[in-house]
Amino acid sequence: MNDAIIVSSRVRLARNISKYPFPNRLKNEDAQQILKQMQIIFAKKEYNYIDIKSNPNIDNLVLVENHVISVEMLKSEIDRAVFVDKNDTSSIMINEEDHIRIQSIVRGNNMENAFKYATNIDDKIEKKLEYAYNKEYGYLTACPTNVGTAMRASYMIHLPTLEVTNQIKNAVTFLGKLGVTVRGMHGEGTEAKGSMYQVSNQVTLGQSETEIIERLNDVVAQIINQEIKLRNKIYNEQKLKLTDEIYRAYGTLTNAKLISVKEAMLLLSYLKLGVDMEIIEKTFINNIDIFSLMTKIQKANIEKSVGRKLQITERDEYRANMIQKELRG
Amino acid sequence: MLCDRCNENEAVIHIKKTLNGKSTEIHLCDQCAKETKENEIHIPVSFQDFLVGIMDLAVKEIIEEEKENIKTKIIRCDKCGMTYEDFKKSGKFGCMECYTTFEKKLPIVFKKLHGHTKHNGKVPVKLGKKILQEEDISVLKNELRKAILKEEFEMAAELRDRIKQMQKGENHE
Repeated sequence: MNDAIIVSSRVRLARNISKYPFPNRLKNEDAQQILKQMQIIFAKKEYNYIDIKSNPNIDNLVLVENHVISVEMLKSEIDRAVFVDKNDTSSIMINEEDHIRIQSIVRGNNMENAFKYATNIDDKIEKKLEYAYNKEYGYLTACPTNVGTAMRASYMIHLPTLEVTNQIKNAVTFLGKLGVTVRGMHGEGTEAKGSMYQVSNQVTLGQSETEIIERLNDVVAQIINQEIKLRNKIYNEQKLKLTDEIYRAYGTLTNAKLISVKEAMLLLSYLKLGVDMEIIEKTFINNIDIFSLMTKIQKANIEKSVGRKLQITERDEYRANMIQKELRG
Repeated sequence: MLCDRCNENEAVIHIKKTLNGKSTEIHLCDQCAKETKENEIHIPVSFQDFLVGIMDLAVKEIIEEEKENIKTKIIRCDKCGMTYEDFKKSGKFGCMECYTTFEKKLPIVFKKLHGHTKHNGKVPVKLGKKILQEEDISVLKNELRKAILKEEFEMAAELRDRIKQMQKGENHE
């Protein structure tokens, strides 16, 4: 069950090179110099190099929706790029808020591997250059909220019953008190779509990486426990209503001619709940991965797959078609 | 030099008086010196003069303080040019030197954000070696001091040699 509720585990490490000012004070020629140095470290064989400035805007937006780069990456003015591991587990953003942002995302409940991948990349970079680091404050970052380990560990978790019963607000407050931040599916300032929540550590200074992950695990385990309890309660007390709700979601998703992101996300969330609670068999929905579909139906992903900019109605039509194809096979 | 009193004749008598650390010299001609009783020269120091002196001192202090204030306001990072005001506005450091430049202010900021003020996590491999070595040396130096206090000179000599060797190794790198 944990593996279903935890959609993905992610570790992000921020690093800076001692020689240069941080990106907010960086001259463009230095930014280019850093990109060159990083191209030597990350060989073409293993990593795709994407120059954000020259990359088409639509492709950049897809990268954001797919969690490969941050929204902040699009706003910066200096030369910047991302290296994407060809195995699709890690990406390294260069010249974002910090010179280097290493990110590893692993599907399901697997923080251990996410941390391992990010650490390997970190060690690989450190062999080639000198990091901005001091004994007192650890890894020095542009923003004081990241200093120390400069690590953000986060889980993407699916909490539909906590949301439906309006208990999510209490949960978020509770998490905040325990030093855990809760954000929507696409990070800072975004609302939770499809009941997907990103839960991450707030504190980066004074605790070791392992402590940070352990604490986060403890807190997330409690939240998941609540979600499971609620699922069981609803299953025991209102099974018919729950089943009806899930099949209605399936009905709309497989028959609608127009569907907005918001509606699709909500209904796919019900469908995921149905599959995870074994109310619907996975084969019934063509064995698809619902979380991947949730990403594919985002605005930029749809426009990219069609190959041009779309009006809202056109987009809703393409989305409806896409969902049907995926669900019916 | 002309007489301070009549400003006509050549001064032949020179008197130096020191009051409240302030020296005053007075130069008189023979005639004027005779006219002032038994050379008792009073330099007039009024209450107001005193007051002005004190005020001056106070003003000087205020100015110094003000200068100091202005200095803190424009603590500027040598490497990237960021001032503390800039940092407060943007919430971001400009470079790693900023951490040293704004050193005094940081513990409060970090305590608020993290509840801690000291890193307790990963140490980079390469840099870490250097840091660890420095730490090892400081531990050995401590032991050396203890050994000397306990008059364990053989042990002390051994420690001293080890420290020397480690420092040598450090310099070679």
